[in-house]
Amino acid sequence: MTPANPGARRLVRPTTTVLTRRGLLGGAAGLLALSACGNEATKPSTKTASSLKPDGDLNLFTYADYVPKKVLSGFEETYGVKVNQTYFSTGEEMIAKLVAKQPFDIAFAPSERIHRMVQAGLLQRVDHDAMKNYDEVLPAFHTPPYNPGDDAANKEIAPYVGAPYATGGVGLAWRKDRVTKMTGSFNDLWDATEADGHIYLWDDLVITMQMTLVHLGIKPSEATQDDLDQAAESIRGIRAKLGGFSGVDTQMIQNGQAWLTPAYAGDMFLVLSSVSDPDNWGFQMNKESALFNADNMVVPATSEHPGTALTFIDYILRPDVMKKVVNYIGYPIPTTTGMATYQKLTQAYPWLAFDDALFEQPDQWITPIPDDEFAMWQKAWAKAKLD
Amino acid sequence: MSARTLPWRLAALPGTAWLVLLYVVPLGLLVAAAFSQPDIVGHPVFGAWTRSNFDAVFSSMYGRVLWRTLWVSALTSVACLIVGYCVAYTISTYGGRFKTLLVAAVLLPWLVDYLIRIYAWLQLLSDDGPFVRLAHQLNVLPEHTSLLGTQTAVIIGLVYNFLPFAVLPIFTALEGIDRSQIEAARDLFATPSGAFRFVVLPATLAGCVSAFMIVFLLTFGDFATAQVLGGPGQIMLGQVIQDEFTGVGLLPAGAATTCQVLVVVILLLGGLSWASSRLERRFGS
Repeated sequence: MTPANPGARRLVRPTTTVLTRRGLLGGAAGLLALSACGNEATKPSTKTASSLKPDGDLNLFTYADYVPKKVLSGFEETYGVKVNQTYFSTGEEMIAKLVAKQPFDIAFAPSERIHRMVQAGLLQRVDHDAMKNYDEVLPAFHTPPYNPGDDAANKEIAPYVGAPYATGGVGLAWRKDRVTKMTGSFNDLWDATEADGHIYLWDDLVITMQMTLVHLGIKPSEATQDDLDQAAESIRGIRAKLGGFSGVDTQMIQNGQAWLTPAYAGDMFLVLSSVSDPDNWGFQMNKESALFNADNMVVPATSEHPGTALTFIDYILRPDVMKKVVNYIGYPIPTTTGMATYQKLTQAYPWLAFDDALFEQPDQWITPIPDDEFAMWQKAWAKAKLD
Repeated sequence: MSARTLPWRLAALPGTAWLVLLYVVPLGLLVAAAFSQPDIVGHPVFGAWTRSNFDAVFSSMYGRVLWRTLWVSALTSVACLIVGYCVAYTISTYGGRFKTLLVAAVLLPWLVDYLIRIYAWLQLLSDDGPFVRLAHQLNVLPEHTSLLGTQTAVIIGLVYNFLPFAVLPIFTALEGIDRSQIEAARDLFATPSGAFRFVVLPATLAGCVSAFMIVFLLTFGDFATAQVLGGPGQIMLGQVIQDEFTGVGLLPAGAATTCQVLVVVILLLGGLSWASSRLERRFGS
């Protein structure tokens, strides 16, 4: 076809590249090929941190302000190494960076995710026999009880858990001037009428859904689709009474907005130590479950200084160091010295103390969500949260 | 390719490479993740393709969240536009030699971390905070009624945070007005409001569209404000994505929802850009 104005053809630059379908598909294929480069089959790592000799500076991957500065500087002075801290704010963020093969020497891994992390090959084994202070760890944690009802999983993770760190139980905190009828059960969240508009649930799938399931008398480890739907409905049932879904912190307690809310016992201790009216706050562990979960010192598979990492874990377990750690973070740590220090620390608030024997009961622990059920839990959680 | 244009084309290479590496490739990975199955820790397994991540995106629950997010973004943008126009007009007209200083003052809160500013509003809007106490005393807010956890609280927080993004483009548009046009209007017996209506406002409409667009897009992707200041009925799309990425840990689901946001944003951006260029052509000097 002859153009109406032949001269106009010259206005089109001869070098202009036209995006063709083939080009587009080629580009897309390139991107997909690039994305596929990141995939590797995963299996538990066979590496082992077994030397108690520092072999370089320590790259510590931790929550902010989670290990006392004095303890870190003590480690630096004692072993002549430097501690480089990198902070994360959620377990998911921590896992994402380990998946990206960041070379951290120590990370703090939540109990309900360790099995997955082990199976994904993110952690390396730790030789507990090489440590001088491992006997400090309570016997119940030599094979950690983090996978209730799944002994095989507990045995599988045992060599990968360097040592337990802060261990928390989830209870309920309430303002005594607003809420008067508490019964020592998670049912109080659903039954309390005095706190309408000021009940805050945690914006946390694992804890809030499991709290709801135990409230309904359902074992989280055995929850079916129907059970999860029931739990979602149960949460929806009290939406009108909720002030909101808050972060897993004490912000809403400290500003007085929450009158009834889940809280970690350790966090409550810190809150009561800082608020002007500590007597106005009550806290209860609940008869259904303590919903324990623990952070653990682990050595990532990508660690470049496993000797320093093992030395650090052993150093934290040292009784004098452990005492400083528990006094600082206000959480129990399941070691002999850690528990003794915690009991002493909470003397003023006896309801924050609990019997160590509870650790050994599987029902008292948060249950890790099985891999093949995760999407099901996520959908139920979305139903519960979104209106 | 002529020898004359070759150097210019080569000069464009670093910028192009930058864009491809840091924008096109991540975008492609995001789309690939949206169609991937999650692995054991919730990360995408590229190569194991599925469309199931989009099931939730097209559910009625997500639809309601999307609608709410659009609504809150629109309200915030309109509020920012009104307040921002007043602030920009005042600075431009009466700022004199302090104009730069006053514009800097508008930006001053941005020197403080975003989250800290939201947490400051958490204290201000809580039941024991000054706003609620004053509102109760003035009977503006019924006794035992909270402000925190309401849509009003979310919009207050969003307007506060994104107001500077409305002020700046409007201020720039106001500064670009040829003052002789206003004088001419007044010489032709236009009242001050008439001069504003027929000269100033049309000349700044494109700036207003830019301001609306920037605030809208920022609000649409925001998650922290509704998370901290909102209640269970104020969940926005940004929160859902944040939850999927960092809370629940299902990256492919988060990627699918992000793609949804991307499509909505592209459509909005296209519409608003079109409106902006039309206004520019119609009223631009």
